[in-house]
Amino acid sequence: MVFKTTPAKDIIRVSVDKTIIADFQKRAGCKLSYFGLPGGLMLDILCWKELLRHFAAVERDQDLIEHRLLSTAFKRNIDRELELLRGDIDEVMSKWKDVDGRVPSLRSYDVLNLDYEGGMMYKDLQGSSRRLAAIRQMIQRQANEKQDFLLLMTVNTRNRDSKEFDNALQDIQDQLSEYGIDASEVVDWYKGQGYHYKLKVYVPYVFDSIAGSSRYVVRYHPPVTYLGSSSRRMVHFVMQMEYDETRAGRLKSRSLLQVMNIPFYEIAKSRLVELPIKTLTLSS
Amino acid sequence: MGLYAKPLHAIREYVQNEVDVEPLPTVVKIRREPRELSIWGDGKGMDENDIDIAKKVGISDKDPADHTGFRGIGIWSGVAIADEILISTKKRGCPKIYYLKIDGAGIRKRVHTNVSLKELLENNVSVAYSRDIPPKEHFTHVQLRRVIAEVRDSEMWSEENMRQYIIEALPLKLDPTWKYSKRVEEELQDNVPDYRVFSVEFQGKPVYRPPYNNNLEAPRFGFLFNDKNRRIGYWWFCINKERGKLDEDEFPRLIFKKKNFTIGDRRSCVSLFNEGERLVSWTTGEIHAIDPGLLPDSERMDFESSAEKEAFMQAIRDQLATPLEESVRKKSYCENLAEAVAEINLLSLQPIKASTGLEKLEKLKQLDSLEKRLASSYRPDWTPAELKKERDSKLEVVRKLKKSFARIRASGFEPQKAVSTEPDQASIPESEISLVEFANKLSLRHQSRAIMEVVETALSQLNDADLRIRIKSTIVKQLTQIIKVK
Repeated sequence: MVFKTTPAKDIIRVSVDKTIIADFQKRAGCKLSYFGLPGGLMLDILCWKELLRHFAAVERDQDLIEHRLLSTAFKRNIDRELELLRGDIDEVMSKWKDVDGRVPSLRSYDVLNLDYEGGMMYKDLQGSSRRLAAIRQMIQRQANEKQDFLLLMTVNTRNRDSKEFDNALQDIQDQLSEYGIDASEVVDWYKGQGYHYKLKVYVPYVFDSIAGSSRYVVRYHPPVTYLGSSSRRMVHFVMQMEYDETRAGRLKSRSLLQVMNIPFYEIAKSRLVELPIKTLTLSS
Repeated sequence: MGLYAKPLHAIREYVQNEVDVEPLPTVVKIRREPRELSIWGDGKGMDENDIDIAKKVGISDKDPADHTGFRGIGIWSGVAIADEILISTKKRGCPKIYYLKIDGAGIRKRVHTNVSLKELLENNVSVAYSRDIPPKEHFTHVQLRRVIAEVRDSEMWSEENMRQYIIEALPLKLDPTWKYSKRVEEELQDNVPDYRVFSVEFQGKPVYRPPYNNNLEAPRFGFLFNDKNRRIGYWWFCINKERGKLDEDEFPRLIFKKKNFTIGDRRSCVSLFNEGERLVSWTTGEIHAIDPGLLPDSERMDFESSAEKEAFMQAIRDQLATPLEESVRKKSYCENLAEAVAEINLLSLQPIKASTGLEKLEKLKQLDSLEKRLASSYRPDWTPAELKKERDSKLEVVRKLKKSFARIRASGFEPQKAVSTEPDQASIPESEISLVEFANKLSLRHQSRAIMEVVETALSQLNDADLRIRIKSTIVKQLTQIIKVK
């Protein structure tokens, strides 16, 4: 029964996410609503509590984490603002109801926190990713409400996703070449890096495409990699989704360049350190 | 395993467990979900030893005199309604948080087999722990998971009914918006040795016990004594500020309490009153049992039969019922007197009139009855000074009115002359009836209305207003009769 955080995650929560959420909240002019996976100790919610007004927490049905989450909410006096949805988050996001048939009380949320313990890409036998499909549906639901929001996502790097990452990198290279940009050197560099580097390119690339089809423009905050519990390599993303009725279709070359060139940080020795990356320019 | 007739009693059992040990929790939170129920309190919590004791059904080490849930059935009470009971608990200073998981469905399935209860329980409960908790924390969280369909599909599981149950059964604080709540709480804390107060929240909001309405007189308090002159109970009650019964949905009658937990229901005490429901229904309040020998039965619907119970009930009859009923009678009497005074005041504002002998008789009857209300049932010892003064002056007025009205009747002259309630005031002429309006009211035909207009114009030539009124009145009366007959 482990209910733990790590020092690196604490830094991200306080120094990275909280700053971004506070800025978003300031611009929204009111406290924010939260939907996601806060974990049994609700550390994220407790850390951002003063910026939030409502939290929809999704936890697996009858799980000990769910029990612990409720205990935490009672103890920290945030049970009134807590909406507990039970079940698998992908299922809840897809069906928009939990295992008890409860529909989330709000139609859209300001902060989506998808703090996955596992990877993002695992696919079923038909080769489609249930997780990505659920995220796509969730983003479309947000778009229906023309809701600007922050998407926070933490995923671990899994070998199983590696082929998918290489394919994505190849796609980027191909698309850029259509604009007359030779990205082979940079793409090869990424291919030679660890999974977390590939993930750093892959996630924004995939999300930009999903967001675009729901008329969102994505503003990326630099991803941060860190060692999670059991020394698992994690990558944390924050994407600011701004609804734009004029946005549609596939990525432009500028977006692809941005995706490739987003800075990358690491939590090393309790400090946020920028990692060197190979970047692309329009003249490449 | 139907330990309780009412499945919601499980809530009370877990709350009792929470408050049976010092220090009391500052807050108990209850949260209902579609298929589960959580009861969380920041009470003392349990360590391994406490858990071992709690697991031993029916052989709890609690002293009946000190604990409300002394039978030790508390932690198992959810078995009847939930497939799984997960309890996490942490005692201050203990580095571990313990998780106790009870397989309610498993127990229910095998409860009627040959397996011994001890074995059955031992085989269906597991304990685990984690260490990641700050040592100062202390709490107990009971989660009834997968509540059986029979319960969760029933009305009792609705949020409103559960809230009502909590209000009726648990030791809640008095509603702070009630203007006497602070005073009553202070009295109870001073005079009821084991009076327990802590906050209870349901669905994230505080819940309080009634009264919620300020339409009550100031509370009265008192002790109940046994024949050895020992204090065995403490009561408080308030009488309706208005005259009459209090709405039972809003105001419970006098409720029995033991350690502030309700024993019985909102009508349990009614049979102890000489006049049953009649007078006690004007009141709301509580009777706190403070004799340690008074033990609630397992369902908390009554006290267990004992000499202490007999003495307690007798004390209520002798020391509470009579003075309470007398207070209500006195209140009723004063209200009645004040009402009679107000009626006379109203009569004084306008002249008393009667157009027929029958009407006169009615008026006289009314005056007679008012005089009787002021005179024959008069209790000077029950009447406040101010009311007494008013009553004396109005009695004089009503007698005067009676006399002058009777004189007019005796002289028998017609038409009826208005009798002023103020002797010096000139009589006010009756306002003139408009025949046209009258015709309109009756929806007479066009021709008839035209005739009325002609008559009205003709009558307006008459200077004698009295005569004019009499003629019009006769027309109206006779026309009304004709229309009625038709």
